[in-house]
Amino acid sequence: MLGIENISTYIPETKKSNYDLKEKFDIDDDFIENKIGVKFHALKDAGFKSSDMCIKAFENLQKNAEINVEEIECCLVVTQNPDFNIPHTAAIVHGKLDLPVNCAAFDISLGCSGYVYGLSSIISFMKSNGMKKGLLFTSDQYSDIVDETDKNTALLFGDAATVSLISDAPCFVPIDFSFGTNGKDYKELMCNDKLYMNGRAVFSFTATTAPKHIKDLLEKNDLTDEDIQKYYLHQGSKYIIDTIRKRLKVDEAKVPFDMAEYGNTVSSSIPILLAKEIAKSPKGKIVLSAFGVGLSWASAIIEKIK
Amino acid sequence: MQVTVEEIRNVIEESGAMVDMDTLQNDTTLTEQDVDSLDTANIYLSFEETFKIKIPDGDLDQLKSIDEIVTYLNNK
Repeated sequence: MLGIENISTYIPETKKSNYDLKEKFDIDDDFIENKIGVKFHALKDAGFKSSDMCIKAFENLQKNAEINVEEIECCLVVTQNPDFNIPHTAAIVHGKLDLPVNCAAFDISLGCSGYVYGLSSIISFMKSNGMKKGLLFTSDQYSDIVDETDKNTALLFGDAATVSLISDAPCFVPIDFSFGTNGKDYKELMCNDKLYMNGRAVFSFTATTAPKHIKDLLEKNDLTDEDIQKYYLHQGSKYIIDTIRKRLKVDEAKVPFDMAEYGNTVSSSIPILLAKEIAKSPKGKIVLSAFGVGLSWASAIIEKIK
Repeated sequence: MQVTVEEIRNVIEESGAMVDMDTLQNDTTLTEQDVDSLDTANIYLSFEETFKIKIPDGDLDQLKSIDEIVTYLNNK
């Protein structure tokens, strides 16, 4: 069975402090710590592109796991900030890692819901093509597109990349996935030169869509909250995570919050959480749920089996 | 639609917004009482869900205080 064998991350060491933006945006410590929940944003090196961050994440994976690049049969990059419009970033990553010529490489253009989509896509693709080892990257550098004068976005986003080793010796295996899209409201969160977000519209969408989506997925699989060890929600902001948790009526300890030191890392937020849990959490079922640009949402139930 | 100040205050309290209901004034704008954009979005969503209405972004200028919210909803 294919699943996630290992996960590594790259979160740049350089951090930008929201405490330095208090006067600029007329905010206080309570807003920083208890509302958006982001104290610092991770900030990539100038000139670093999406593929560069993927390579950093892969270098960290090599420290955690034995990787023979000759065995990699699939390379998928989830990004909405590709190095170039043409070619796809996965091809650039393929070249930089010197992956085999018979390795499939393609991108998926999705934001916050991208990891869950990517996980389903790479596992399905590998399964249908008889592949045994693949790499699922997430990488976005929002520091290149955020409008530094826009309070709605300038306080939130951080740069990061992750890589998940997908193999037939998994630690996490998928149980079920569910997806959704509301393309009519795509303008509420978009980038046309600079990032724009209608905060109220995105909040309303997430608060109403995510809890119902998770409940429906659990119900479809005859599962209840008691069967779920943890809920790994996309780290959009502390406020939205708290809102979803309250609407789901689940215990706070089951819903990790972890973005305070690096920000909203878009499609990397869930694999960053998983990477922290992979060594220490017990076996059990986990819910993943992410929501954002599109408007797009995706949830999954996965199980830690070792 | 007919709503009262008490009903509106109850919706705000139930919304989960981090607002001190004991000190929240009816005739002063929410912003002037330090209700931030996240809590405001949450409160407006609660009105939409409770009263089964849609509040367009263009109408928000009419919904700055509790008294204004009551007037707005009673004219819906």
